[in-house]
Amino acid sequence: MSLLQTRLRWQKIVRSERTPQLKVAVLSTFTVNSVAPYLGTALEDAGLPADVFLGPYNQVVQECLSDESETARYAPDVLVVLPRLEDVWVRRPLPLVDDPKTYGGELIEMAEACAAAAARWGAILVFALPPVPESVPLGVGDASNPSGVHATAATVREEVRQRIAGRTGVLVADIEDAVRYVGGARAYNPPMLTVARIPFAEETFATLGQRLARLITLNQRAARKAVLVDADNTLWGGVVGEEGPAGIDLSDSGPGEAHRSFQSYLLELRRAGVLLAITSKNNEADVWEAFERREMVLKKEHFSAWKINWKPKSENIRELAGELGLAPDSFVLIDDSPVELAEVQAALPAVGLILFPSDPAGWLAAVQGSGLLDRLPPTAEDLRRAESYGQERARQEVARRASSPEEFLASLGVKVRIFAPGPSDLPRLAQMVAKTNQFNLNCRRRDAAELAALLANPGYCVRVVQAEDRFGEYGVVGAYIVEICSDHAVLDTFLLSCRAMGRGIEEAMLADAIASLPSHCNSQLFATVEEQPRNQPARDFFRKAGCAVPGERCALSRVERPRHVQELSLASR
Amino acid sequence: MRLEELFGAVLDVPAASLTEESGPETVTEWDSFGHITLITAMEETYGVSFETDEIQKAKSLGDARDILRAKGVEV
Repeated sequence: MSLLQTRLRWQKIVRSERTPQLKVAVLSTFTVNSVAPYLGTALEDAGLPADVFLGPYNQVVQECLSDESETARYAPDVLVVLPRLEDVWVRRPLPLVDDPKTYGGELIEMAEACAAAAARWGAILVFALPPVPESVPLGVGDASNPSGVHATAATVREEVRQRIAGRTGVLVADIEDAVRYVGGARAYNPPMLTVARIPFAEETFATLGQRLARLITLNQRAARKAVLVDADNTLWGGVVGEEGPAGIDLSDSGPGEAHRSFQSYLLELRRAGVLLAITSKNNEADVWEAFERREMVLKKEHFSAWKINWKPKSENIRELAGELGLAPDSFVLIDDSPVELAEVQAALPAVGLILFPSDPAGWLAAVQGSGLLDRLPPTAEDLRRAESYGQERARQEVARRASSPEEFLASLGVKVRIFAPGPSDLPRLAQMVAKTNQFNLNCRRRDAAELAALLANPGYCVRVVQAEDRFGEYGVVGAYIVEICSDHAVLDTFLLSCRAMGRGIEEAMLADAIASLPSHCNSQLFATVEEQPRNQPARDFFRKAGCAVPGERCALSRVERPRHVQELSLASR
Repeated sequence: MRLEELFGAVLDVPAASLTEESGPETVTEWDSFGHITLITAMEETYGVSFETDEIQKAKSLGDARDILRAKGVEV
């Protein structure tokens, strides 16, 4: 679709007056109207129909300081801010001899005003780092100047990033990223800058809009958890079943090098918490023999699961979903065969699909450009995930040998610590509330800002659960929230990561919730278990605890902490 | 694509309602940003670039047609 067609499509969408799910306000130091169609259509395609509001020209700080401003009254869910250094530095000369740090004040002030406004308005802030200015009077000499335009822009950009990145409710975007993607020679539009204060070419706005939409989407839903990768002509060049393990291409120049770079990239994704699995139509022995080649970057132990056989890929993916305890929408399949991708697309449309290109040198554009593997910086749990699936294999092994479920549980040596989350636990709590589907009382979603408010509210008791067993740490895997009323209490949220289910941790959590009630609640804890698409495990658990009928409020029966679950004390570690 | 059709689509008005004299004074939708969207649409559709003064001079459909003709685009 051409850019013009995209704009006309957005015009039609706006005119259709469909109900938007998301209100997005865009504030900028320049004329920013051009970004709306691309941001809007990209959000529409991501399943987040949005209304896009454009704030008044170059009034970023003014709009944010007042709760009576046009932007405040619009009550955005997402506040996008797009500054340019040329505009925030308008009252001073370009950097030449002064300390770069003296140039940071205006942008930091703007970022802080935006963060404060977003927090007051209950909006997510998407603050874009400005691109390096185009005007560089020293020309190529600027690179030799530690207080030049480039040096100062870099310093100011990093100062702002360090300051706001990682804050609750704040996402950082980057206009320089869009400029670089389009290319400096094509990214700007000098006539439009002079006529209408529009600095960028249409293509730059298109790229920027799409990337902002990707970032907003990332904040609204869980990132993909696992990459399923094909073997032949994907992990390596050629077909191992025909050419043999010695014949496949893993050379250090030419196509083999591209396959090996792709393998390194998968290894990086694994470090960031993405699980790797293989789905390949092959004889399993051939594939593992290929893995013996010393040029292979990936080793067998890097994979959490595999299905190497001749069955349809969709069938294998269903089995992998069961094995890993993940839903199909957690998966991205990377495969060189359009036929295989089409088969999976038809049977499991939720699976993300990436066609590995016939020229393997194009792998990065295909894989990274798809946006399907976008993710926010990893939490401690993400970093531990791949390892924890390895521990899970060891547990399954013990379970197979145990003579009874009781013996198995006792042999695990489960320890839990249930505690009130501090500020550093908030991102993980928010992540669990956003993502947990299977063991979830009601799938009530709250963002980090709402959870922070509950933590500060004496009418609520918020607890998170950290667990480990003799095979390793689970990390923070569960949470509950109890609303304290005058003579009873209500279970507001109760969730547990699926990899920790069935170990007695859920019983320990419920026992703790009831035991911790203040005396005026008379040990009366009510709950309403709700039927959600994937929360059967939670419904089964609460049925046993006294909630037989989903949707009906009932008193929970007293639960004892299972005897095999011990207290995890921090001092002993 | 005929110029009237392009302008009609971009401004979201019937192409038949546009004449050579149509401009910001006669078409409500042709506001300052509407003007910019018309210029961008012409640049993309006909593969030309408007210089700064041409952006400002294209104050009616007929003016825009003259500028395009001067660039060798017959519309």
